[in-house]
Amino acid sequence: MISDEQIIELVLKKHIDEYQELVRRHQDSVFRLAYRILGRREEAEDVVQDTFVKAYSNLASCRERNKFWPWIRRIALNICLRRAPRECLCEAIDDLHDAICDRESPIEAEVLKQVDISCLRRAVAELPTCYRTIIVLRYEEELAYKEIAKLVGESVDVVRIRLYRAKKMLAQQLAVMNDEVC
Amino acid sequence: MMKCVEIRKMLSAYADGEIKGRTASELQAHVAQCDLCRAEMKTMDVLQSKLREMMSEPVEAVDVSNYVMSQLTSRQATRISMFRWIGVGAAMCFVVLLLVCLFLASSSTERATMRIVQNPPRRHITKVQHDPPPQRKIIVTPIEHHRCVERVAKLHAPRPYYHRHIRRQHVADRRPIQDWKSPETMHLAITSSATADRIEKTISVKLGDINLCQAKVTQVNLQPNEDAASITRPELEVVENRGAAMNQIGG
Ligand SMILES: [Zn+2]
Repeated sequence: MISDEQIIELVLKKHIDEYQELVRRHQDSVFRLAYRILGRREEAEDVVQDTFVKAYSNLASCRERNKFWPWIRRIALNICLRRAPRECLCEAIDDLHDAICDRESPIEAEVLKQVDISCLRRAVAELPTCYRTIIVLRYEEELAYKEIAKLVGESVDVVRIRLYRAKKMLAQQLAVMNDEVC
Repeated sequence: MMKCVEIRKMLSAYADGEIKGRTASELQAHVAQCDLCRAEMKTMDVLQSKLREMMSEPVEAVDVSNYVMSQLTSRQATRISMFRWIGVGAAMCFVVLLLVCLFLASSSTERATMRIVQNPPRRHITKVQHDPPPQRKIIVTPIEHHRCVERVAKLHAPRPYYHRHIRRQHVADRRPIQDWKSPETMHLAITSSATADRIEKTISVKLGDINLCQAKVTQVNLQPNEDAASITRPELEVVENRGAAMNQIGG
């Protein structure tokens, strides 16, 4: 099978039709990422379209052509974050969470095991976008903190703290949901 | 020796395999003899595997490849036609220049009678109309006046609003939240709902079943001819058992 790298070479040599194969190969991954972050199918689909159109016009600047996916992932992520509602104020999140978080574990591991995935999905959807993004990059994309930091333009410490807080928030939220009927 | 508080903050990163070396062994040693931290570690592990389970759920497939290609070819076409117009323009300029040269070379008395009209090449200008950004009004309704509400609201309301309103109005109790003596677990509960024109969040800090404080944050996207003042403030809701809660936490 022809590699991504070879396809890019061809496209840059004006064999535009070859680009379609590149789109086919990576569109599902881009969609997954966008869908996990934005949560709406139509919007995620728009992101996929915009990503590939934008990637095409910048294709020459993709230096490491054997790493097309990380390159296009960055483009997709930027498009996602530009679309996300600007209600997210991570920098304003202060010691309130920590103060609450430092107390006893809100939910027992045994209880957590029983929690339905649909509850978790709801809890993740309710996280502030910047937290959800990092959760997605960590557990969907399986990236290391360093890579996440590079992608979102923050320090590794910020990534570590946000992941910690995001998980605490999830645990809190799941504890609440567990009491209600989810 | 690291304290439990420090250990807890590292457990998430530890579960992610991001803590190594001496710190990791110190952490392991602590967890081995501290029940609470061990429980927390277990919670983190379970949460982690739940998150992975969620992420591995299948997502529907999409196919935008035809659409993308049609976008690209239509762009290509625009570009070609642009080049064509530039070519036509350049040719016309050349002709005009030639005529001017001929004209200058001819007698100066004829100059007034000859006029060269240069038609510039037509350009296609597509006007992109940007919709004005939606106007927003943020309403923060403190359901319980407490410093904690201030903080909670701060997390969920845009910064300028926070500075203007919340800080000034609702600082009834200035004790930092860390000073509370909590016999039970405090937790943060957020419920949110969104419709096309508004997002509403209720944020509560709970101690067991008791609401310590609660705030409602409503973000209304105004219609073009709507006035921010026309949107009424939601009613204040009073949590009655505040006294009980305060007694319980030693206030
Ligand atoms: Zn401990």
